[in-house]
Amino acid sequence: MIVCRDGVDLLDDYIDGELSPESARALEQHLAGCESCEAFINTYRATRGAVGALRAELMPEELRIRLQSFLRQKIQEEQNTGRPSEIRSTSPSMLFTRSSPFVLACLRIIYGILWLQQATWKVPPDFGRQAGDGLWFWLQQAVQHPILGLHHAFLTKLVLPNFIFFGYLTLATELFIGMTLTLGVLSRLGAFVGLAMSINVTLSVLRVPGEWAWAYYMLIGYSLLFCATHPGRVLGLDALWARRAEVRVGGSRWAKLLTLLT
Amino acid sequence: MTAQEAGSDLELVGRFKEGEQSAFERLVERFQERVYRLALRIIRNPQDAEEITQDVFLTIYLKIGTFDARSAFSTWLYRIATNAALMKLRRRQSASEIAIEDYLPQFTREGHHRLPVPDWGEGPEQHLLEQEGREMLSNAIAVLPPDYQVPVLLRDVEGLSNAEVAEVLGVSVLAVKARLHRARLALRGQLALYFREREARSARLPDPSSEDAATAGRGEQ
Repeated sequence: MIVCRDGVDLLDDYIDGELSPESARALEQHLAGCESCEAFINTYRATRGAVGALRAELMPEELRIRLQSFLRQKIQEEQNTGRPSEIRSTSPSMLFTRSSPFVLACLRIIYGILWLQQATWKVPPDFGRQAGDGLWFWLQQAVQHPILGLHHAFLTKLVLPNFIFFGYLTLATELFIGMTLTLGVLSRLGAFVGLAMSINVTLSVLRVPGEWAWAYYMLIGYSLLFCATHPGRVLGLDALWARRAEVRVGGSRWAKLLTLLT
Repeated sequence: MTAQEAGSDLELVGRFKEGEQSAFERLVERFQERVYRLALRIIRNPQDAEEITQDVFLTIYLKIGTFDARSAFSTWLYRIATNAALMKLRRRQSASEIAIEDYLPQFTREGHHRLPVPDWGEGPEQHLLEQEGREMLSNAIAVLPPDYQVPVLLRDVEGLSNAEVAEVLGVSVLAVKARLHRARLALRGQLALYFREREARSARLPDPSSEDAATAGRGEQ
């Protein structure tokens, strides 16, 4: 059973002849019994037709002449300055191949899983303070091998005295980064948090003997890559929002924020 | 656009890439009308539209090296023109826009039309093809938000296919169809309002020379 609202939704496909025969028959049946819908389709069709008739508008002749002389003059200038007439800019199509989005998505998922894995050894309630291992051990290492004065002060003055709070904060942050990037939900927000956390971790343990410096640079590098893209829109839940946002343009400030963070 | 025409677009592009200036001028001749018309409808100011048209073809001239024949030349051109016009429009930011929702059809909870829909009949339809009607319709398009306006201009005025519009705008065909539908509904809504007011006017001031208007006025009440 078709009601008026369904009929209105089908109008374009009906007018364009893209409706299946069954749907078209159902719509016609409804139209035959509904005066409002019949008037609606007539006026809708008339609107489309009238818009199409605007195509016939012409460009003033003097404008054609001005355009021609403008272009000739500019081209002349280009040639005189000796610049190559083909200026290549980097367009997206030159940067990416068909596989790029999928490689990006796979990297994102692996990166997320690594964060989740790293969260597993931040164990509440004391985060290794009693046994001298876990997060406590690494915090001690970081304090003993400072890199940046300001960050060292942050560790000794703020984190150490409130160790348990920062233990939970670390666990929550790493779980958040891991979940957002693995599932691809709010993945850009996850990437921003991941970037901040990566810098923090790097500043903490880069100088600890035996640590592999380039692993930390990679940690920062990958989060930068995810910040600069929309990594959750392929093989991720952010794709659902992206598709909705594309169909419903405009939208509120919240919708725009969500688009930015996914 | 027929395959033959598209083929010769690409042929001209090829000759232009090899350095043949006259091929570029042929392309300008072929497309200037469409670029100007689109720009004028978006920006609503002949002088700005002229500037946009100049910029677009200068861009084409300078950037032809970045055009790869994977898409049609016209699609690429429309994309450059649309972006140029929208960019200028954003800088102007003076345009008054309507809220689409105000002009969409209203339904009851069961999905029936909330109010009876009057048919305009043939008189108003004819009116839309005349000068005043065309201006009214142009205005109705002009006040659509750009996200809805541009698909209507490309699809209904310029006659591109849904797939071509999707390529120009870089969105899915589904998104194009959704925007087009809402835009056309909003246009129909604006026209319906216009005709209702016009009939009400002619009912108050019966014009003896227009039998049509008087009849329509009675029908309205």
